[in-house]
Amino acid sequence: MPDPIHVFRHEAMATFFEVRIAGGERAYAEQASQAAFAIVDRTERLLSRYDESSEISQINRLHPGEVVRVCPDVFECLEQALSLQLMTGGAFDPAFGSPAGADRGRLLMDRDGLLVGLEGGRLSLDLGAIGKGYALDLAAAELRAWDLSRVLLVAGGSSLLALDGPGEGIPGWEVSLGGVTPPRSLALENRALGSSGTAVKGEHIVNPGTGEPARNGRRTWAMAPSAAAADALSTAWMILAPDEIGSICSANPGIGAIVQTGGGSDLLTAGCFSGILNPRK
Amino acid sequence: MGRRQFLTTAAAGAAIAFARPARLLAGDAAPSDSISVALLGVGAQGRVLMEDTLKIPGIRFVAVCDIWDYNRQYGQRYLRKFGHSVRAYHDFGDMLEKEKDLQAVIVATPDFWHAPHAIGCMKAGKHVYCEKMMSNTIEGARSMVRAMRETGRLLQIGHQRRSNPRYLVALNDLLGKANLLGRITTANGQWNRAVSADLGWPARAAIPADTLKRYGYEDMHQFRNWRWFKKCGGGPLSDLGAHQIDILNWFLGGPPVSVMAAGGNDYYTNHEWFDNAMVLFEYRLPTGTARASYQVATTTSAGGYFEQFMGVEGTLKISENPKYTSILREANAPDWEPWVRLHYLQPWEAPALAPTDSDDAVADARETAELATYGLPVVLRKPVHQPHLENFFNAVRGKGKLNCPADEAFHSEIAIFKACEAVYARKQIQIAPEETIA
Repeated sequence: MPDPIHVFRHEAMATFFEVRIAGGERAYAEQASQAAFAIVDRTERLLSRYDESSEISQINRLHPGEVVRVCPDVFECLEQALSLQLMTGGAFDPAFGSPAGADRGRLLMDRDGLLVGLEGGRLSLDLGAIGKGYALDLAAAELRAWDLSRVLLVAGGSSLLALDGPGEGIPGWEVSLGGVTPPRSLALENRALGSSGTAVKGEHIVNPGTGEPARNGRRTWAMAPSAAAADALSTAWMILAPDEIGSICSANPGIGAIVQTGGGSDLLTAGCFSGILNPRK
Repeated sequence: MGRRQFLTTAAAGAAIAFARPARLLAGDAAPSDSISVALLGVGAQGRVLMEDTLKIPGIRFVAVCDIWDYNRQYGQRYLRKFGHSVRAYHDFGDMLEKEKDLQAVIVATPDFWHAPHAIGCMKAGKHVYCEKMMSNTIEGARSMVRAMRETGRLLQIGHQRRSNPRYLVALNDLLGKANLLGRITTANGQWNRAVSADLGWPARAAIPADTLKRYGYEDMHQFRNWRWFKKCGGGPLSDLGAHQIDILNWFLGGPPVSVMAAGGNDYYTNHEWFDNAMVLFEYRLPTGTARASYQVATTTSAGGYFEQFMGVEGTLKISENPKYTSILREANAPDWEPWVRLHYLQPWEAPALAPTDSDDAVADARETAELATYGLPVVLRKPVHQPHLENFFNAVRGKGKLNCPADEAFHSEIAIFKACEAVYARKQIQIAPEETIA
């Protein structure tokens, strides 16, 4: 008989976070989940652009030449966001609401002092497409500290992070690809999956190149070693051309893409997704 | 421009990171000017105070102290990321003995340790920022005030709203200079928090039983959930209520003259302290009597946390959370537009259906008009504890006075101890003026 799976939910970042823990005592799993959710709440306080005293709000209020000290978690989230921006050629943009061209400011970052400064014009950070994933990465570290490893973490149904699978001989956590017919699933283990689409929130992904919403009716899934990267890449996959997605996946080990175009059963896969899709059980 | 070309440009002009070896932060004090600080208690609240202190220029952590290895290591690792290499101590007496150059200590241990820790630090010549509540006993709180006076050291109590610019503007400008509320007759406040499981701990990180006993805990569960045990903490009126009952006292000009209350262990089965309470305070203001109700719930989060002051001309609702903050004008009150022009208030955006008063001779019949709601013109640009810590460190540098010294905080301690007493006595309890002075 498989081990029971304990499921706990928590509201944060205007959506639901979920922790699934296979096996062990439920009370211990619940307390560990509560500690993990406390990390999610803290991450929201740090990253939310809607909270006037958050560190991201402090950065967004900077004028050129000003500097603010941030905590290591915010610094690391920004570093990841910036490297994903470079990796995707700007298709993932952590500051897509900023002025264009020469009016757009640039961040100066000093790792030794954990300082973030602004140079040039204005910059408006919005970590909405990476923050949920980053919160999952931090929450997972907390669960590991509690020696829990058979864990799946989910944010808003769109960001998933699996540690070890749910049991001996089970090849990871089964994840179905929403909206795909015929149903397809994959087994997720020690990896993260991010997904994007326009079915739930409408046309909410803006192409930083055109300033227009992405209107291609795609659904995308991104696989990556961290939930932050998977979260950000699934947004980039909404915008990039298939050949661009393919070359990013081949240049970066551990990255993968599934793109469903036109609502049909045609799925384009690239990178580490190749060959792992199964018909849903 | 082709799309691919644009993306290249966007990346080049994007938020590019690059490191600079030199510190960017202007005003970062030289090491010789910095204040050396220790954190005593690296739990949830201690970590918040540590993070916010790290944003203040010229502060150097030199030590952390916690009986729990798990917390101590967290503090040491976290501070190392900021370039503060700190010594870690298990026992606070050991820390005070070895850290002779320490200037200030942030105390964020469980409440029943506050008096011994704060007094021990002050007697060793350190200034102390101590989390609220001051103590879980009246005598403990009084002894802290006495030690502050005897040693001449600073003892700031962590009622951080006392340094929050939103609260200072509300009290000094809106209620003070502009007297926008008129005579205050009633007030209320609440802190509602969602139901939660007791705190746990990673199994491998449990503290040995003899260590727990030595520091006053029955077991690991009590150590982690000390707030619910009477010998360690003061229950939810103390943990959550203290913040708002302190604001009631502060804004109404002093402690209440009486209190009645109800509460009980209605939900949780393994806690000593009640989980919900409702309290009625009576205040004597120079303008007359004002009554305040206060509710704390640890089983539901609806409405969050705020304080509200109601006068004959308006109502101020205020919270650390800006979304719960606004000020409403009674329909019969004088026009507030002059105060908007003086930037005391943010403009009211009248709903489309509100009657216009451009022609006093013409009456207008329709649904009851909404009270005019104005915003406060204050944005807190920092984490909520930072201004109170800045106030403390400025006072350590001899610049300015503490916003919440222990003798002032004692007013709130007494109101809360009496409210807890009233919950169990099930009757109104008088608070004599002499009881409120430490």
